[in-house]
Amino acid sequence: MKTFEKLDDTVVVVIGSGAGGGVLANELAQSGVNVVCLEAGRRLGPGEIVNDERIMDQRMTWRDRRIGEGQLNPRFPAWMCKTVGGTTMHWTGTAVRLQAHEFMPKTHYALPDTNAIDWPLGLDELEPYYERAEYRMGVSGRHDMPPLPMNNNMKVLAAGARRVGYRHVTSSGVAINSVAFDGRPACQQIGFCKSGCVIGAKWSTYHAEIPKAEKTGHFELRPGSMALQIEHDPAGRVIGVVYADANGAIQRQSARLVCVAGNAIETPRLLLNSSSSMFPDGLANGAGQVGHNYLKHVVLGALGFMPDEVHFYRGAQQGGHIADEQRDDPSRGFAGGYQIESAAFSPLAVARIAFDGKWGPEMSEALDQYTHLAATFITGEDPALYTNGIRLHAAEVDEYGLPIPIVHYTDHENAGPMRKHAANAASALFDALGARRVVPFSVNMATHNLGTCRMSSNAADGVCNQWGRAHEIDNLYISDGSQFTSSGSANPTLTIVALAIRQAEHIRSRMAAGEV
Amino acid sequence: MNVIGRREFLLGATALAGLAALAGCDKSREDHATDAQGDNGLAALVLTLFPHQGVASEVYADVAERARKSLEARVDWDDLRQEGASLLESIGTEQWAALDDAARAAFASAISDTRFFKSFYQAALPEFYSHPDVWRRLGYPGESASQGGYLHRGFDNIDWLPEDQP
Repeated sequence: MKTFEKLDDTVVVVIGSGAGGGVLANELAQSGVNVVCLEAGRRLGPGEIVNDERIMDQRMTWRDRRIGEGQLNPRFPAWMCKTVGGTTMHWTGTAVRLQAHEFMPKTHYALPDTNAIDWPLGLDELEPYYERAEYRMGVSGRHDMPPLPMNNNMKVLAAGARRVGYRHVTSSGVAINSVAFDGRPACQQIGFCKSGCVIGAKWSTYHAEIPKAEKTGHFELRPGSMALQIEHDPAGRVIGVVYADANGAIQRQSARLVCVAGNAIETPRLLLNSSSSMFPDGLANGAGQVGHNYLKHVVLGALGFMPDEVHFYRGAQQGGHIADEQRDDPSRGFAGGYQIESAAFSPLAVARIAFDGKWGPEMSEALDQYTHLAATFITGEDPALYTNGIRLHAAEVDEYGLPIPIVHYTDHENAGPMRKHAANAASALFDALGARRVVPFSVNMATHNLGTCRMSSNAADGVCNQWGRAHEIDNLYISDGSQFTSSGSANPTLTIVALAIRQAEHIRSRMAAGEV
Repeated sequence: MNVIGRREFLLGATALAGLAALAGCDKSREDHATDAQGDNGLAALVLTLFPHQGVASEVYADVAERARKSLEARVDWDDLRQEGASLLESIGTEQWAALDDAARAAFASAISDTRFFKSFYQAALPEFYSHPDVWRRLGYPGESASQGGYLHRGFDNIDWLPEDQP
């Protein structure tokens, strides 16, 4: 395995190995750029990915201390992974493009009391990269990858959707192999997609990117390496990253260029924790936008208690979606749209999420219907608010002496009517098939964490430009979902991957031009 | 009393002893760690929380023990024990011993805002709904990779949906 000297200042340091960092690192390595990837989590061995939700939750979840405020869980404000592969280990594979209007939330929605701006790029510019991302990830229904066969739960959704008049029902748009592709097998409908995928049929950077990067001879993965600070020179260019290695020892890696992809809490936290006399409010924070505009989607779940057996746990946990409500139609009483996705839950997840706090017959009679349950998960546009975000704790520090993050999130008033509409839509869909009962339930979080180092045309409005390059620092890049200017309604991973491919191309061209 | 079974009665009768054990009324942790009566008592609380027909009393006892162990690991364990103790004083031993299903539920409801109740609930819920015997009872098979998933075992075998096309 290739290793690089810590004083080698010709390497690109990529922080994080998830959808953004893992793809960017592989892209750069494939073209001969030397990359050191610092990943805070450890690398799971082949036998460590198992069909056990609780064990995998322990092995993969980011549990470093954080504080939640507003509507967030005070002790566990956001869900993401700390492992090689990042949150692609946990994602369920739904790979849907943002729509054209979702790149223009300010122009298109004109919602009051938001900090929304339009993206500095549009769908037309991202489309070629969506194409490449979809091919790369083996997204179903694109290129030569057939749609994923519909499992029972998706069939319920599709039948209900037809009855209520929805037209855009599909098991395409899932980055799970319906046939063998790219050295990874076809889906065996195991379930447990959120637990890492035992066979690697689901695209993840763990299975599909990092092993390829390692074969190039231009890539070194350093698991267990927690980035603590990005250093810069007197000219304001970044020159290296201080990190704690797997043994807790403090190390420093020199860098030609630094790309931060630590997910939407750790990415801004690292920039804020890298403050200096030259950048007293943190790196790239001249506009005061680092850590702000945190987006996490308006989310909702719904269980249908169906008249006959469904066995929704069989197969892909999200095996398709309904796109009819993704349009922007203010006549519904809210701005933006939402996506209706197939979803399946273990008994524990049903009990803990859908019936949180319930007990007695109210709980047991619901769970007794487990084999008859169908379910949907809804993700909707989440308007940017300056007050939603990540800031550093004034006193409490982590084991390395760095301030822990405080995460604040409160719904915009647009969320209420959207959730209500979505709950009614889900109810209508299940009712159309004779559901005995429909239980919409609020979900505190998806693993969609976005927006905290957003792109902007104007340096005063954001953190980075349309390439993810920090407005203030020429060789510092934001490479994960933090750079999203709006959430859109779709799951973010496909867009993160498309942006990473595009960013890699941009970085290569700048390197070729001698700019960095 | 006539509508509840012997098992429920015994569990109910020993539940208070279980709370006593949890609340630290026993002399030492070592004593109560092996106190079957205490675990049976907590089992009654688990039964009150998650009353499924066809789940054996051993499962409730097992879940109670796991929940207690996870609570013992918490930094606020002593506080929880003290709260449990004061709850005991508020209801009295003899009343508890006579509780039937409905009365146990009423008691649970009365204490449901306490940190003790919420903590025990949060500890017991994942143990109960992850228990293999409970899964069997609910019809959830758990892991499937070793059997090749459901690709050839019914992932798409639903047969009662309407045939109407778009």
